[in-house]
Parts: sequence; C-alpha cells; structure tokens
Amino acid sequence: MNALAPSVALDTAAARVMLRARDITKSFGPHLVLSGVSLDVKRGEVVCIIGPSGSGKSTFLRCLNFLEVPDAGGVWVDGERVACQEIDGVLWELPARVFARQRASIGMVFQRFNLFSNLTAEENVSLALRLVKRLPRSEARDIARAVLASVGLERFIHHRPSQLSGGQQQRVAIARAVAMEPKVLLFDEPTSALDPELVHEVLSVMTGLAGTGMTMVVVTHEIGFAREVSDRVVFMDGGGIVEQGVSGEVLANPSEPRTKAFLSKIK
Amino acid sequence: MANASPSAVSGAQDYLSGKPRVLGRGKRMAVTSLVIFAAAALAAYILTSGAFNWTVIWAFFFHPAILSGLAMTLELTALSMIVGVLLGVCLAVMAVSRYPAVSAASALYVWMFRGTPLLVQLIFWFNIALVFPTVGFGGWSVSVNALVTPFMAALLGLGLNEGAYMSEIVRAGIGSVDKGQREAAQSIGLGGGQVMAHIILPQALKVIIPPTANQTIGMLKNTSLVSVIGAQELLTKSEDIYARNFQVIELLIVASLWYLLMTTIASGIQFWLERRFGDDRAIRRMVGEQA
Repeated sequence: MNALAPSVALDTAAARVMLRARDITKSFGPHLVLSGVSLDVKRGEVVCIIGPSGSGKSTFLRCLNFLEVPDAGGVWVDGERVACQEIDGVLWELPARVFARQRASIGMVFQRFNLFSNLTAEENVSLALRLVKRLPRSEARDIARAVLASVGLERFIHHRPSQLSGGQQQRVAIARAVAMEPKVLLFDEPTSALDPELVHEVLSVMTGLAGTGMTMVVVTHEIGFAREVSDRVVFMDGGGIVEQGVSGEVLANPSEPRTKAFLSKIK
Repeated sequence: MANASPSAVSGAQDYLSGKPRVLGRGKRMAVTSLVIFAAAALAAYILTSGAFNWTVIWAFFFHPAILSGLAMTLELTALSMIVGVLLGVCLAVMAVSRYPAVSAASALYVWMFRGTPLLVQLIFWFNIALVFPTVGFGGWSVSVNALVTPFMAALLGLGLNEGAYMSEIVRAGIGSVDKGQREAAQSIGLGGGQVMAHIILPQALKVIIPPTANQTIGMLKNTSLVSVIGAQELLTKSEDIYARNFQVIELLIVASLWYLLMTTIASGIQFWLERRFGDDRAIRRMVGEQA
C-alpha cells in the first residue's frame, strides 16, 4: 500500500499510539451526531468517555470498529487503517475477509451483553478462536476455560446466557472479547443494563484488565471507575469533545461550564 | 384466616372466605347437553341411515392400492418439504443479501410462485416437455418426457411452491434475531457466512420450526392436488378404485379418514415441537393467525 496522507502520518513519537481516530463525522439523516471527533489513545492507556445521553459518545465508540460507518474521518489501530485502504489516492473498503480479521483485534463489550443465546458460556468464548483464529477445538476450549476462570466464572462454563445473572453475562462477554487478544478493547456503557448490586463485579473485572496493560476506551456513567481506574477522561457533548484531561483533574476541577453542569447533575 | 397484623381481632371470623361459587353453571350445562345431543343425533344418522356403506369403507380401508397411495402421499410430503425448506433457506439468505440483484432474484421467485395457483403450477410442470422437449449438456441429452414423470412433476410443483412460502418463514425467523447478536459476532471477527451459519440461523430456528410444522400439515393435504396429474398418491388411488366400482362417496371417506389420521398425528408432533423449540412470540403469532 502507499503512504498515508502527511497530516495523519504516524511519526515515531506517535508510534506509541494504539488507537487513533481523526475527524470522525456521522449523521443519522438530517441529524448531525458527530462533528469531527479526534482522539488518540496510547498503548496501555485507559480512557473513559463521559457525557449526557445524546452526546454522541456511544456512536463515536461504534464508529471505532465500524459498527457504524463514519461519513468522514478515519480510524487507525496500531498504525493500520480500519476498514479502509488507500490505493493511488482513492479510499477503498477493505475486502470483507481482511476487515473481519481486523475487527477481531478490536474487542467490543456491549451495554446489553449480546451473548450468543444459542451457545454456552464456553462456546461463546471459544467460537471465534475456532472460526477466526482457526485453533483446534481442544485448544480453543482450554483458552476459553482459562479466560472464563480469570473472570471468576469457572463454575459456569456450561451455562447458557439465560441461566446467568446480568453481571455474569457481562463477564462472559468481556471474556469473549479478551480471548481474542485484542489490541484495544471498547466498552459501550458496560454496566448501564445491570442491577445496581451487580455493577461492582463487572467493574472489578475491568479494573483487573486495566492492570494487565490492556488499552481500553470505556463509555460509562460510572464516575468512580473513571476517577480511580482511567488515565484520562474525555467529556463529550453535542457531538464533540468538550474537555479532556487526567481523570482526577477533570472530574475534580472541570474548566468547562458544560462539564461542571453535567458532573453536578450526576453526583 | 390469616390476619395481616397482630393487632387485628383474632379468632372470630366476620366474613366468608375462599373461592366464590361460579355463576351461570346451569346455563353452561344446558348448552353443553344441547351440543352433545346434536352431535350424537348427527353421528347416529350417519352411521345408521344407510347413506354410507360402512362395509365398503371398511373393506377398502386397508386395500393394498390405498396403502400404496398412502405411502406415496407421505413420500411426496416428506420430499417436497425437504426441497421446500432447503430452497426456503437459500431464498431467505438471498433476500437479505447485500447485493440488490440477489435479493431481487429471491423476491421475483417468491412473487411468481406465491402469485400463481399451486394447481396451475403442477399442470405446468407436468407439461414442461411442451416447452423444453430435451435437456442436455454438451453431447449428452435426455428427453424431458422421460425425465418428468408424474412423480417428478408433483415433486417439482409442490417443492418449488413450498420453497417460496418457506423463504418467507425463514426470513421472518432471521428478522426475529436481535441485531446485537450480529454486531457481537462481527466484533469478534466472524465473516458474514459464519455469522449466518453459527449465530443467526440457529437462533432463528425456534421461530421457524412451529410454522414449518404447520406447512407440513398443509402439505399432507396439498399432495391431493397432484391427483390431476396422476401421481399415484392417496386421492389418485381412491379415484382409480371408484372409477371402476362407482362407490365414490365411500372411497372419498376412506381417503378423508386417512388424511384426518395423518394430520392428527402431525398436529400432535407439532404440539410437541412447539413446546420443545417454540418461543412464546412464535406461538402467539400462530395463534393470532388462526383466530
């Protein structure tokens, strides 16, 4: 392939950037949801995106792995352009096979878990290991069991999603994403659909994951998690980033009035 | 009875407790006996009037020709449903294709086969040799007349028609799967075909199975249409016999009793399948259709 445009060239200083989003723009019909959002996430960094509903934070996250196709802008993971390739000055979509393979390196955890309801917990985790990574069945099963054990679910490997609590389902969903050894892990409000007493078990798994050096982008309303675990907090409103910075500072002393107003409401 | 709070008066009960007596029991009894009486009178008339010759009916019930017709009916039903289901899955997957030409081809097929009467289609396939006298590939060719026997024409007609209806059922099944399932599968790197085969279709099954059982029961009866092209199933065999002995009504009753027996057994299997696989939504939808 040929060189990237100079404005987004990955220089040596930026080589530590694991995820790069540039000028992501997205409209649904006449409604502009994202107006040119850019974000760099360093290797091993944990970034929390907060903001009122309708601010575009979930849409932005879904644009990062092209579950929503942005109208403009670009996404790079570990220096590789996501879903697109430039050939002789023309932007083409990647071949479906290559794109699918690439998506396996961008893990995603959904608000509503989206576990495969026809499969057991173990099968949920091992499916892509077999089908995408082409591992033999026994090896995929061993990895699945190990990852499920790491989220504390070794006793539930043969349970179906309907037999698990919300918190357990979300931990299986995290295990399913982690098993693929993604370069970056995206969380779309992972605790918003949980009963309050189950939030903690999911957050503690995520905290453990952050400790392993996983690069994470987390859309969340859990300010406590943002303060204690994330390296950086990004506040979005009206389809753009209003303010960002070291989590402790932004959350304690927001400089923008809109951030102040939002934080005062949810505390 | 139990007092909610300890401060309430204990012991003496100042109200009547328990289930209330049902109102209108007498009316219900009257209606029930009227219906039973009417049914019994009708049955007595049918059995004793001499309008139907029960000896003839019984004599032909297990006649070898009838039994072979019965076997053919079951064979046609099974094979046509297999053709229909396979075709229906293909057409449904085509219908949700990202290529407009492919989904249009599926829509065209469904439009044609659902828009023309099954009876016309059966006669059409039976006479297909008028349009294509031979089919061949390279130097090899074969007469269509030899290829399209009444059985083949029946199978083509019933199977291809069923494919159109099954595709709508499978499509509804695919549509019933939550879109988060597809998104999750894509996010871990599964390709389009893998998502369909491992996630979407297995989950669509519980919506697909109950109406498919319904279609099978319909197919048991629809096979009788192929008597017009002489495909040797139950009705054809019955007609053959009454053409010779003129016991028209008796042989139609023989055929009807066999159809009733088959559809009753099939309904039993359907009931079991629904409990085993069916989810509430699908069952509600089917009940709604019948109402």
